[in-house]
Amino acid sequence: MKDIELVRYVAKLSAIKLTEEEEIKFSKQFAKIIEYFNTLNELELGDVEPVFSVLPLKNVMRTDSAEAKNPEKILDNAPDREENYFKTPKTI
Amino acid sequence: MKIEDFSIFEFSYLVKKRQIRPSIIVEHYLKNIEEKNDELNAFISINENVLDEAKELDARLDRGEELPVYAGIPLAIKDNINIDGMETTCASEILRGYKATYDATVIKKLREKGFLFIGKTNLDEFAMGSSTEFSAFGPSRNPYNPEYVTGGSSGGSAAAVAAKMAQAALGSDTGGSIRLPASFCGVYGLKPTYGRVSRFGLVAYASSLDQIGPLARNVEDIAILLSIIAGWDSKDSTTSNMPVSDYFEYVFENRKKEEYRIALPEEYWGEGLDEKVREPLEEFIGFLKMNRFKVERVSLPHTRYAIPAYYIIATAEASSNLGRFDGVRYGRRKMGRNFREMIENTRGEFFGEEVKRRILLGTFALSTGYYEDYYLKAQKARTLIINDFKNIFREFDFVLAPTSPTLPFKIGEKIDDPLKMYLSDIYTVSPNLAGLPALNIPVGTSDGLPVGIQLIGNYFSENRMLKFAYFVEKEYRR
Repeated sequence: MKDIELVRYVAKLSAIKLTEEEEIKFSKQFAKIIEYFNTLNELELGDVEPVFSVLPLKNVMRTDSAEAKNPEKILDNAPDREENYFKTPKTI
Repeated sequence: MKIEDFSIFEFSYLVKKRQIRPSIIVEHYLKNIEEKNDELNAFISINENVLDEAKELDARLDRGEELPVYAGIPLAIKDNINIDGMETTCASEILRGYKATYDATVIKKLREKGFLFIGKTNLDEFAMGSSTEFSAFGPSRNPYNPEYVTGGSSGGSAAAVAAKMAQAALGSDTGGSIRLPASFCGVYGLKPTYGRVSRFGLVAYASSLDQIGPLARNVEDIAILLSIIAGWDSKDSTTSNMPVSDYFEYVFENRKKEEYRIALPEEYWGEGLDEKVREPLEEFIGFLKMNRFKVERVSLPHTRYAIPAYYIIATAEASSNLGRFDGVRYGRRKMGRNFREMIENTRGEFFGEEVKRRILLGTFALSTGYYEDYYLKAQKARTLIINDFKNIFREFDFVLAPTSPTLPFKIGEKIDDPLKMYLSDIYTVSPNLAGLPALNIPVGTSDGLPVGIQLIGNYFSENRMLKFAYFVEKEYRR
């Protein structure tokens, strides 16, 4: 994939609309940054286990109970609302 | 002695003995903010009720009531930590106007002890940056010289503490965001062990790396704040149930002089370390040797992979965490012809450049066809980095390294070169990858700018680290 196509592709996946200038700027920068990421290829990682948590953790369960705190305060933060709902443009 | 020279413990005593009133403390800090914040831009918002809250405490004292132990002492809070009713902007346009609807666990705990919150401090947008220049509210400026950066991302907290605009502050540290600004502004800053402090109410950046920690002008204040904010929390499943020490008591009650075995990893002291930073640090190493501590050169051989591994993991986690900013539930919205376009427009318009760059890089590292080459490799490299440290901690108590490879740099100097900016974190990212605690200790200046050393301890060894830092604070004359 060409650098600029890669930037457009990940922008689509990320749901971020970029300007044309941003696409050009990022594609130049990404080439350098990804090349730097490739330093990891020097490592022999075949048998190494990946880390997903640095501390031993146990799954913690709790009662699944609804806690209606202050819907008014929460809804007040929304860009658009109607009664007790968040309001968005049509999704389908 | 000026008001700001007292420690939290001393204030607590003076208020209890009715020798100082909370409103006097708060007024003093507000005055410093008024005099200095226009220039330094450390705060994004000031708590307008803080003086009234202090006067309410005065009144309670007058009525003879018993107050919480740290009543009336004002702290500055990084603006990615929620305080009920105050704005949390994360220094981003996308959250402008958002008012937190609850207290973060750390805030709840501090509030119970009587602390007041004087204001919210500036940061790189969503804590992504090393200089506090990537803020929608403009850069913070270094109190030692306003032409220079504060370091980041908790630059506002570090500047607020250094310029005495608050007693102490909270920051968050994902790859150095407490330690680097603490170093650049000449204050103490601690990133605790991963899992030591609850992140409930902290706006998440990279969840396997983020920790909240204190910044202060003395070790005593760091110890007191850590004792309060540390501990298990049912609302953060990554918190540890390891018992919390009374760090303050450990540092100050137990007077016995301890022996320390200190490792200096050659990868941190070689090429790339600015001579102006090296000089005061080597002088400090000389002091340690004079005290007959065991100080030896060691190797952490996978250090050169820490920055690529860190930026892959952090951006990957960020791309997922920042998915919630979609223009639906909070913050701002830019309309489009349909739902999908509204989300793309909102994120394109209101995220800043560095945030977009990191979300894109992280999405790339997680995407089909690249996941194995980037994200998975980075998580494997992380294992090697952790093992390096585990080997060293079999024979040593601490690893000692510079906090920053350079002195504070000029505002604007690195802003157009992301890779150069990322390399500012070269000495600070490894403790986050390994989950280890790390503390910046100010040890001198070069060209009038502060230099700090980074003390890295084993898991949950904050008590010994603070005791060491206290020894340095009292005995080291630079």
